[in-house]
Amino acid sequence: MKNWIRSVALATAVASLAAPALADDDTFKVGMVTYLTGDWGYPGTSTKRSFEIAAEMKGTVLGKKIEPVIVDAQNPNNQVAEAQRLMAQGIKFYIQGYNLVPVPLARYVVDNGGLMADGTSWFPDLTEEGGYQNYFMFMPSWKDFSKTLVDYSLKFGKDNLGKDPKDLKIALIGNPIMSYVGDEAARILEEKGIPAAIHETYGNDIADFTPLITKMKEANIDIVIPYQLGSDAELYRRQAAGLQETPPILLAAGVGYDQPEFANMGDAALGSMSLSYTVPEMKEASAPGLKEFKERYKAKYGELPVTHGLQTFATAMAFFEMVEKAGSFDIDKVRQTMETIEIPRGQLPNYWGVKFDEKHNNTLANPLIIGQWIPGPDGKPVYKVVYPAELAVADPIIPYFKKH
Amino acid sequence: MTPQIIITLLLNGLFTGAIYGLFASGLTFQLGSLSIANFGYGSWLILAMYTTFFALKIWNVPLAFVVLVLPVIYFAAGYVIRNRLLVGGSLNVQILSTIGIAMIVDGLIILFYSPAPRTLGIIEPLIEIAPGIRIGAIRLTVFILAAVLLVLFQLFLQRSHLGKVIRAVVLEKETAMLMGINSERIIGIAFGISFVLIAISGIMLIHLFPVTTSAGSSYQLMSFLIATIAGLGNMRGAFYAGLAIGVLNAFLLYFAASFVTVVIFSLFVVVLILRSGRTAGMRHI
Repeated sequence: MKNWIRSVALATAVASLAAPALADDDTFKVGMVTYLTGDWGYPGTSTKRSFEIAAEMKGTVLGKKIEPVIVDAQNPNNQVAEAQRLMAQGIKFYIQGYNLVPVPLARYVVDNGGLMADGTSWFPDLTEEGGYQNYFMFMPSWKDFSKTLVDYSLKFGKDNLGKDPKDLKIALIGNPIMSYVGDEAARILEEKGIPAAIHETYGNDIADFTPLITKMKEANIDIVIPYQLGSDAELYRRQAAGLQETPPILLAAGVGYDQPEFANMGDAALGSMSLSYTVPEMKEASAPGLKEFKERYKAKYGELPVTHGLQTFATAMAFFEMVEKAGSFDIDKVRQTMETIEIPRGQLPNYWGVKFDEKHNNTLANPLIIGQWIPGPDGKPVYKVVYPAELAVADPIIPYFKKH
Repeated sequence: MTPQIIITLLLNGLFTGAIYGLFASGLTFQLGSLSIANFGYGSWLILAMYTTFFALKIWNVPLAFVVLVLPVIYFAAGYVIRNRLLVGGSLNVQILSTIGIAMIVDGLIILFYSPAPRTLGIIEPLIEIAPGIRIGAIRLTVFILAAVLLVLFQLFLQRSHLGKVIRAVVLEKETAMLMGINSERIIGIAFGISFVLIAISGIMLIHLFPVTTSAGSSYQLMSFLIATIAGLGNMRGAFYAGLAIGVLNAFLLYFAASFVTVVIFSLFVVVLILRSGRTAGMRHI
């Protein structure tokens, strides 16, 4: 009798666990593994929220309600473990989250029969290696980013300082995490016959920029290109302001310089420019859906999303359209649609278009934008997109420190 | 390289080094004198930085209030951790417990303060001490405060009754107990005092540096490096070692920034090899 009761209890428990899963068959589950905590929890959270807003705005795909399944994982091993868990639950479509080392996760997903739309990372490992037919890179690669950084630097140097690019004194300084961007920029400069006057990658725990600032002042640097993250960027600019370091052009490699926290240091933020992906602060009229996205995000969270949030939102919206166009949740059909689809520039909320080449790189993931911290009406720093013209909301001020 | 640059680098190195010395002093006291391996040191340090940031920027609490209250809370936390969680525990228990507490502290920071990096955003005013030689006013202040604080702490240990009792317990715990001293309670108090040093270091650090949720491990590593170079438990030595590393750091940053970490940690390895077998059990106070 006792065994019978035990069996019934066990069967009831199993049935109760299985019931929600059966009910969930009516939803279109899309996975995301991202940082939600730790040092990178802030952009990761923006990514998560943006994905949720995309799902909310789109509502359904092929009659099924979109259900984002988002998990936090802090390192590649944990990310793969989480992806393994999600795939075991039958989730086969993924939007890439905000991860500093995103390749192992993407590789695991596509190696195991999943499909990943990567709208946040800039590592082209899978598209360069080839053979990952279910991986689609919506973003430009870090190599494109470094090249654009150099091109814009030389352009501004020529147009605004009136100097021949060969006469420009350029300093590249940054931390080891971003050194691949700095090293690539240095390599491109070298190739162009304009070797960097200073190229230093310092330790992550740098506590004093005075020596580097002194060195750059001594060398009369025209253009400083920092490749920094939030905390070292902040310390550098604050100390530079204190030491009155006023390089004619400061063009950072994004990351630390386009985050809202950068404004917290007040005057020290002013004048800095940064190369970034498209950002929520760009001209709203150029990118349909951007305004509504920002309004929803702000209404819900009281702040604007960061650039990775916008990229995730646009990628998710494009991906949902692609699945709908495929007319099926079959991975092969979705892949085939993604391979052939073309969304021209100016139709997505991040302005970029979508057209994948044979390796699944998005050939329309450009232009990159230049943002600058300039004084707002109350004198406090405001981040404005200043280049290119079609996305700009203000004119660049170069050289900033001479004019202010 | 002009003499002005050399002096600027030297002074900046000394001032930054004093900060290193200050935040390493608490760890060296815990590790060397009290023989407590606190692997949560860095987390407590950044908690003090975050709390000071929120107190000053978000809650609009005056700095004086923070300076008075935070060390008291930290003292209580240190005392409770030592006398409720670590008391009687082996080294393994200490390591695991303090790592566990650090994880809780890190989690609480993310929960209550969010993972966003925080900064007071102060642009440091400069003082021109000679033509072409300018030094940061906050760094100078921190240098003086750190030196004064460590001297006062030494005086407290050497001159005050409680300080003498702490030294007695550190040197001969059993004998001190035979003399009627409640050694466990005294070690708890001493551990609490080391937490006061952490709190004060955190309050000072946030005035100079931004804080991130992962900064604790960097601070902990640098503290351990300085404590080891100075000799565990040697607080005066920690201050001097901090100064030396600060100066070395400044010149390396000027000449070859890419090699700072390599050179400093190579130095650390050399010191470890030279001190091999002599570090364990050292008790300076």
